[in-house]
Amino acid sequence: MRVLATYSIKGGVGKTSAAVNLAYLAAREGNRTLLWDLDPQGAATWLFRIRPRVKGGGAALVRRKRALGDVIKGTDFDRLDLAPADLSYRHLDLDLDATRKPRRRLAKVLGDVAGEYDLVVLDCPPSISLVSESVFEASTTLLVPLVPSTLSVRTLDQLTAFLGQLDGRCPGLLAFFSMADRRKRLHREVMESVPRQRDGVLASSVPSSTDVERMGLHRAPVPEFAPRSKAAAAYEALWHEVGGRR
Amino acid sequence: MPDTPPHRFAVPDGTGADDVVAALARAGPVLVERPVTRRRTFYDTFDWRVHAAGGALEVEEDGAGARLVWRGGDGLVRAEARLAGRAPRLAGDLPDGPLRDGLLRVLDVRALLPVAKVRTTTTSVRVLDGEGKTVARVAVDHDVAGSADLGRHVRLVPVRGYDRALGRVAALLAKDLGLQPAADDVLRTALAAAGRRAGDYSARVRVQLSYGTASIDAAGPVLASLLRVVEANQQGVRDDVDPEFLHDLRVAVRRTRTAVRALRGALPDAVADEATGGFRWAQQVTGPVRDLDVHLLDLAAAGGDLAPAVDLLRRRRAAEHRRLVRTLGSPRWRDLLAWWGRVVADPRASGPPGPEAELPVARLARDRIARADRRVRRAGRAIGDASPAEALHDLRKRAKELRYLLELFASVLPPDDLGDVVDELKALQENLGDFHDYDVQEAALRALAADLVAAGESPATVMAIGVLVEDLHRRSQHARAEFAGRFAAFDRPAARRRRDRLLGVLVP
Repeated sequence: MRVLATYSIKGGVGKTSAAVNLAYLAAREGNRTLLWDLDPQGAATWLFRIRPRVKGGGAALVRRKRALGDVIKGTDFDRLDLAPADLSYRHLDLDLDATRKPRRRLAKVLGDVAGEYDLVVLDCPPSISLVSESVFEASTTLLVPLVPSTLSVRTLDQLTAFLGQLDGRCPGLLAFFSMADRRKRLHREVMESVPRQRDGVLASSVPSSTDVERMGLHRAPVPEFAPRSKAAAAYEALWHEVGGRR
Repeated sequence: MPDTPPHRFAVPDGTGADDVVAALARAGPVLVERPVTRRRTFYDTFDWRVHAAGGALEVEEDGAGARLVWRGGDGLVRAEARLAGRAPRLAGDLPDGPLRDGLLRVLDVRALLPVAKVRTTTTSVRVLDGEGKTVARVAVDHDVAGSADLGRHVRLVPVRGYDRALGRVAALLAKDLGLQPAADDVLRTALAAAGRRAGDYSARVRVQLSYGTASIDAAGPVLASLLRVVEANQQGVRDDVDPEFLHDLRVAVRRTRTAVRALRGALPDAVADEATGGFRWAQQVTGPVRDLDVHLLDLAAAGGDLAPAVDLLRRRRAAEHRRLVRTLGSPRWRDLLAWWGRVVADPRASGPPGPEAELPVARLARDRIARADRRVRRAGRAIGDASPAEALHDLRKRAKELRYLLELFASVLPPDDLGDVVDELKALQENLGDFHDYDVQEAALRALAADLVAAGESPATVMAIGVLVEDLHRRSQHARAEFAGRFAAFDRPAARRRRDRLLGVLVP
């Protein structure tokens, strides 16, 4: 079972959109896929029209009083399930901290469903915290969306350094440009130069697009309501690149 | 988990998909999808292994392509995979993934054969909640198999985590439309329409005899059921579908020989003589292909260096198989089976009955089993560390004879003791079987190596065979060393007392 976490310290960079669309495409391709919405805002959960409610809250899952399998809901799409967010996830850090080996906890919880899914996508809250560290331990790959600017590249470097000094498991790090606007010179320059200077920057990028914004209107992944759009093609290319890498 | 509602309902004549949609729409928002027609071909092995594992395997084709779908007994999908190209025949042909991993264990070396073809037109209705989320799916299926209309059914497809919604829908369908849960699944109905039944063939033969039936009268059903197995497997042998057809055929021949030996004295002498000769010949002519099948299966696990050896064996096998096909079509073979069919249909009419014809079969069984058991023990006790391999191979044959007798006459033996006695015998047979197989393989490989050298094959191949021979030799030595302990366990007083109880000898 592969675990792919969409991760960013900052919010509003297209993390949830990526998680939702990649999970959708993975399932469409034939992979049994689970998307776990770890963000208390519950945007991914809402997009799939599922109630953001977990009985007992994050604490019950983390303390293993409730099995992950019992809270999972089927989405409207074949082979794609969702573990919903819950408002209590806002203090998931504290719940994790109360356990023994908090960094290993998410991996342990995911272990319960290992035989049922080929891919787990974790939509992480924007932060750097114990939840993030637990996500790092549990993930095969971190997928980091970058809005093409000098500051976000700096954030990538900080993340790379941070991961480098962690003991325990280190996930692979892949970055992709998100909300990219080729009309802006700075965007173009960053997107051309950065991949030459750093490893793990994917060739596919997701454009800044009204179709992505309209996910909130349709409450569905982009390829469902705009299959021939540039945004759909971008996510498909992104999935192709990410899906093939380990 | 709370009670799962039935997943399939029969739709009475006069009720259509529209009525189902209307009933659901009255209860809340629904989304109706365009009807989709799927061509479905169900597959199983000749001996119904997929069915035995619970569920069904099919290839589904619709506008979007072809898929392999493996459903469990509850109708829910266990695993699926896209299918590009031809339908799979062997487990090895399946696309990688959980479907293949699961089915490999179920199928082993047996081939998948089409068992039913159904055309299903499905109207899917999504039951929605207040957010527009699909909380349950209701499918109205119309199934047609060839010219047989199998009727309409409603299938409830649950959405994970929305069990209550499923329950409500099930209750609504039962109440508003009076739908009854369907007892059958589509495969069973399609098979019935073709006059078949899942599991209608099995290589295991269990004939119910009564204790007091005269042996000559018991002979008929026992021998007839074995003959049916032989006849059922012939076509599969001719068409070379998978190695098990020949294996099952030969086992049925061996059991027939055992049964004839046991029933000598009840059957007319001339019949027993003819059958003895005829089935000995049947076993001989089917031997070469089986030996090569086993040899090839053993080598299949080994790697690339052995490719020239495998090629040589395959060519030999092809030649032997052609010869076997000619034999199965020969007058001698056909006449043997035809004659035997007449005998087993009415053994009394086949000639003057033997002196034990009227002996109750339970007594005949006990007498023959006691003798076979003595032969096993005598031979086993005579084997020491210095005894040649042949002695163990001979004991293996005697043990097999005893086992077949226990199985053939199981219905007139006390079941509990029988189970234990068979388990003890199995443990001994396993050791003898391993030793035999390793020994035979080793000899075959040495001969093969010699042939390859004579044919000028590369040293790499011969050396690779050498490695296998070494390994087999080690294993056969290990099995040989284990024999003494295994036989001692088989021959211990407690086991012997159990055998005595089985055969009705009073234990003081």
